[in-house]
Amino acid sequence: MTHWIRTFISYISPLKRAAPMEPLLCTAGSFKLTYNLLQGLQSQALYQFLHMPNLRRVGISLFFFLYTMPTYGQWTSDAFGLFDPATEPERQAWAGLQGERYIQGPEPPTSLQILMGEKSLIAGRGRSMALALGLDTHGNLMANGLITEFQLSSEDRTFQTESDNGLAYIIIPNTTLAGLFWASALIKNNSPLQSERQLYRITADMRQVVPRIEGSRIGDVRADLVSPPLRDVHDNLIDDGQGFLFQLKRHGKTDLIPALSVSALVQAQIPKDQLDREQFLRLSTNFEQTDAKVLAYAKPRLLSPIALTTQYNADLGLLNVKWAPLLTDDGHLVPDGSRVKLRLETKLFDPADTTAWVEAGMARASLFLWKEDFPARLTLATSFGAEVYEVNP
Amino acid sequence: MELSLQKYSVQEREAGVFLLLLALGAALLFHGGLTAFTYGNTYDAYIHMFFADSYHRSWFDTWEPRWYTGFSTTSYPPGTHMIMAGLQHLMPLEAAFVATLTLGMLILTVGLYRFALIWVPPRAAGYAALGLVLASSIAETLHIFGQLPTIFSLGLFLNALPHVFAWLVRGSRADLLFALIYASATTAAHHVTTLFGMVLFIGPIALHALRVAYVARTSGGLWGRILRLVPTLIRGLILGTLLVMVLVITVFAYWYWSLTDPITQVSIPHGSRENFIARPDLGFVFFILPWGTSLLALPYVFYKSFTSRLWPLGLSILLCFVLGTGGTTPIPKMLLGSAFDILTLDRFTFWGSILMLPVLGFGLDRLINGPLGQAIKSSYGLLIHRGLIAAYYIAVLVVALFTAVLPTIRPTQPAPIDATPIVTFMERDEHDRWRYLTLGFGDQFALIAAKTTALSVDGNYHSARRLPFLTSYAVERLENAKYLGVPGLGSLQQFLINAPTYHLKYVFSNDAFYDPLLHFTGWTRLNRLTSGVTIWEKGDVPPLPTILPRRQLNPTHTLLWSTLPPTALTLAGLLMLWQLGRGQLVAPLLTFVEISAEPQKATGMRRLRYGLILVTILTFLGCCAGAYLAWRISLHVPTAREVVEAYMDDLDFRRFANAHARLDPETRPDFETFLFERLWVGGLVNSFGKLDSVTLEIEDKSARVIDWRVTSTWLTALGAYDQPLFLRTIKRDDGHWYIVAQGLAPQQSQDRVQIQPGAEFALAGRRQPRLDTDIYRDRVDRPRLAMQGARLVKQVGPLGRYAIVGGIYNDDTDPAFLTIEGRLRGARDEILASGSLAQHGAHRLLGGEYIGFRVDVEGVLSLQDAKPTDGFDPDLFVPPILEAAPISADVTARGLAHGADLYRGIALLGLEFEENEKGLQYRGRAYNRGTSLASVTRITCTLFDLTGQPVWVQADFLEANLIPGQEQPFAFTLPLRDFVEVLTQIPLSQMATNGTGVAIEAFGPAFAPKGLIPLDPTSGYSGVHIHVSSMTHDPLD
Repeated sequence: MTHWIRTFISYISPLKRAAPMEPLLCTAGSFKLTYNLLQGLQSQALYQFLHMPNLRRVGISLFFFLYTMPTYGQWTSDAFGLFDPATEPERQAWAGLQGERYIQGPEPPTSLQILMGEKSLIAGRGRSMALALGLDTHGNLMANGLITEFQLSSEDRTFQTESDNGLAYIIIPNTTLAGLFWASALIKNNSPLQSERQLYRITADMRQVVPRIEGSRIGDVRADLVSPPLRDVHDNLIDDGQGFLFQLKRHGKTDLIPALSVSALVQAQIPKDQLDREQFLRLSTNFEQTDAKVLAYAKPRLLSPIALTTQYNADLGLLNVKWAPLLTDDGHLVPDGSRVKLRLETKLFDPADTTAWVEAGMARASLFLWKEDFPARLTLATSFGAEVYEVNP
Repeated sequence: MELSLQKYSVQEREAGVFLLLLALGAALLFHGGLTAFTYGNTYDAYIHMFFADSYHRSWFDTWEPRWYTGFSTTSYPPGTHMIMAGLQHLMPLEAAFVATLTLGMLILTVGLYRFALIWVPPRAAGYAALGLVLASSIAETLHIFGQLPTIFSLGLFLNALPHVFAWLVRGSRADLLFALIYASATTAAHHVTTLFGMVLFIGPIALHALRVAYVARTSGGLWGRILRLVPTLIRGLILGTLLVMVLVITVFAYWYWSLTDPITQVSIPHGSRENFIARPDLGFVFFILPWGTSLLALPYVFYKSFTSRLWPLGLSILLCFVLGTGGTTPIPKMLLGSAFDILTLDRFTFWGSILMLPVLGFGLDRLINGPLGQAIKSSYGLLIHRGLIAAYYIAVLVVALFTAVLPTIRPTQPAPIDATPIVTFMERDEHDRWRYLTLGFGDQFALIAAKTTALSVDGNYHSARRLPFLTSYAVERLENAKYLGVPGLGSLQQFLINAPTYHLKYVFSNDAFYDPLLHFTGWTRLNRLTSGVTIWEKGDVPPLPTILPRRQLNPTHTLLWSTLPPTALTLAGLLMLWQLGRGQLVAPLLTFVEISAEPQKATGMRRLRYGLILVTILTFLGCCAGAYLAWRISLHVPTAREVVEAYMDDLDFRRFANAHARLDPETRPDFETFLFERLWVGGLVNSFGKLDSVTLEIEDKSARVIDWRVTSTWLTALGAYDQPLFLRTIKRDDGHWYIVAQGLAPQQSQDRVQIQPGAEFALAGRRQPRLDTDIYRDRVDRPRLAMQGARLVKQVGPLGRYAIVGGIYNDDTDPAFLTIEGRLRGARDEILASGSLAQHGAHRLLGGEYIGFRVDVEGVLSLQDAKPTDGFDPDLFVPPILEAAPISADVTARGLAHGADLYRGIALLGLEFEENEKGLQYRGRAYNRGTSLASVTRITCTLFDLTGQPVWVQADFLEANLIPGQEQPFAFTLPLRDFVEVLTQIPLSQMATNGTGVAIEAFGPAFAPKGLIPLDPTSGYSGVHIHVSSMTHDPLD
């Protein structure tokens, strides 16, 4: 009955896609299975049994009684499902039967594929593997003992080996030359067969890159930190997109400036107002770093005095202050976007810090101060210098 | 009193049928018409559509794999879903829902009329039916909750009740059969209606039937009368037994599932169980709104029912009223016991509002046509009489309309999302080989799920949750995690971090709040659909196995489930048609006109007059009070505190015009300048945060000026941030307080054009015309990785936080996407707990880059743990429950070639370290020297101890965005060395990268990357490695 229902449901209701039923090949085997007595009944027989007029009510009661009563039986499983060996002796005889073995050898290979590993090879480090896979027209692996010749454009010679289990491969130390190369395989048979070319990449050894710093240029706005073209110990130029780090150290503070390699160069820029008169620059990979190089900058000083304009709103207790023009002693305006730190000190409360930004040589701020807070001491600090003011309403 | 059985007059019956037809027409026009526009805003409509789609796709398969890694649809009665599934062969899913709901409403209207006929005459029953159509409880159930099965099942159940009554009174077998057919159909649609209906609806009818039997004849004395109750009692017993059998058999698989399902779930909090006085918002939704204008009629209903033969009905209404008050009083909990925490108590309010309709209809009939109406007409004239009736119906209609359109006025769901692009995406390029998750979709998630065959880890039917991270939390679904505090985001984080475990690869996000969490837990933003939904992808997630586990249901149960409910519904439908054809559907089965104790003439005219005067005076006074209140509110001058709070609220909800209007008119900048300053600053807090609380502290105060120290706490998916702010408020001559404007002075970049050389990466995805456009494309191309110095550490403190820390190096030239997993092991090498890399590290490394990582091993938060915090705390850590103390650990890392989210344009300037009592503080300025906007920037510090090995890793996030050429200061604190205890060094044999340890061995055990910033050895650390990474898109990208 249960089997019948399951069959019915499977027929009526195709299972949802997430639980696909795929044909399973199973080895024939015999085992004991717990099942309900009426499971083995043919549905027709069951129908007749339940519809015998005199026995209908008894039959239904008996059916439900027996249906729920477990029992045991000997079952065999083969590739087509479960069956009772007692009722199907012929199928039982076939179950698990293995025929006499014979071997049909493969035909000459008709396709040859070549694979190169690993994903990216490192110049002068590790080994690389070239592998050829040969298949005949039926998809069988090629026969053993076929002479296979490998040609690698990164090497100046060819390599020969014999196929085994459908494969032929060579393992060789990586060349010290980085670049993009190709590989191909050739079977020298009665009808020679050549593979397509397979591209492979050998990269510079990043563990053995020696970072260097070229003279850094300080322009009108920015300081350029630049390396010369970087190479590994085998004189290969490094790849693009590799991570490096510039470090600038000055007065106990450190600047960390990550940078990428592009065309083997590593470069980064920082605003020059961030520089001091003297700092030490390094470029590092995770394995090597340069010696500290002094980066000197004739940093101009803030030209004082700077005109301060105040506007006091006694009603709001709001002091609007404006410094302009902010000039340096080289005659230029302090660059736009330079940070200005302001410190306000009065007799009545603790010093309060705030920040402003330079825009068109001018810095502005609004400060809350009541009349009784005056006189106040106001310090304006930029990276070029500082200025102190006594402010009254 | 002698009971006489007689028929109503023809006029009476015709009036009843006329009103019923009017009610049916109104139901069709009002609810049927509105539903087509309101179903999208309801809570449950899409869930029922999903179930319907499940049956449509496979009627006989009760296993639904699309939610919660699979659940059984036998967990919900299938009747209405099967009707929709059948209709889907004729019309789209949404139309099938509207059609079924409209049909249910029509059946309910007829059922209510028939139910009312048990108690009141036909015309009164007609008014009751009309009252049903205009009831706000019906409008709420249909247009706010979208509870199709509730409507449908109640309609069928009410149709059963006349037969129940007739069976109890006269014992006709046909009535018993009909009652059972309707009850079975009711159960098929929703078993709860049958279960509670037996008490709340059949209970009063049974009492009524007993009373009928008792008063039918006055002869025979007391014992004779009592003996006459025996047949009714026996019939009641038979009926009860058969109803229980029907209840069990019709949806047997459901009962079997609920008894045998091994999953123990934490119950979901529901607003209907709250104290409505403490939570008036919930009281409005679950009590005031469903009762609506009926609340005004309740005193009459109770008075009339308890002073007439309607008292059994009155008892049931009273019970529903009390239970519907939820946690406002302790009575419902006392009555329901442990069931209180499972039931949604608004259902009782709904039933109560239905039960009262016959009494209300009776009252209306008396008011319109009866002696009460006559008395009013004769005393006050026709105009007043009709005015009263019109006022009543207008009030009812207004409340019902208001209820129906409330979700449109105050949407409870996100704006409609076009499902098509999402469905197309999941079906394209074999994306459905993985699971997906939606965020910020509301209940529309169920519609998306219905339209695709792809699977989700989430679901919208909490009773069927199976995953431990869900069942242990009081989280209905992950989809709306941000509204669920700790349990919600805790669950979500676990799924996002441990995505490979669940084969979760795609997230569709409709809420930018989650973006930072997604990005920094290793999710990559793919693209943005036209609907505004963003697609996120996680790399290196294994696809679903070809064959998924499924819980096998007994085939007999499946067969019963698939055939009995539709059979019951079909029989009920045929029965209704048959009864309609024979004119029996709306005819009273039994009429007991004379037993009515109501006087046929209005009495107490003086009391009526006084009553009307009192009502008039009260109405007038109420109107006056309301007008006065409105006038006072309009005149209310917000205090300075209210102004500041409203200002912060306006900024949170980006109501910038309102915020600008609160600034001092004499000093504020123009609106454009103000807007520019606000929109200029974005980032983690301003673009992705949500204002959680504002604390105001008066710093200085005078009559006209108050200074405020404002601390606003912003919640983000990555942490909570406090922002201090100083605000000055001033009282101007108009008597209003204003905020003194302070310019933000946005920083300008030094360069007009910033130019950066760069490297771009493009990886061939699965859209390749080749045979291996398959699952394995996602797992090849693994960059070589090297791991170093992994250790099992423990934070010193009561929580005993275990973590695995170490360093990893991309020993390749291709950028790598990292997946790092760690497991704690016990003395017998058994696995005690596991975890994956979250945000303390980085998931994306450039070639040649190094970074420290920290894999936290966390436990699952239980509801009991979550309660006391009552809010979201992203830093909350739940210690894992371990069987034994961990002795060792292992850690594995996998890399995947990756080409996105590799922005390295942020430099840290002026970095300095200082040790204080809180820890090791580091501060400096982050400067964007690149060309992309860094919306959220992460600074990952790897601390090395004096042995040169990594000992702790911590990630900190900048609060504001960084526009190219701009900078912002930062300061964070790292833990002191004695905060971390090293338990063990993980041996090389316990570390693996890409499945091997080859790269690790070549790395050298004592390796420490160059470029460390040395630290003072007295701090216990030898140095720190700093890695900076950024998310580079804005919410509005």
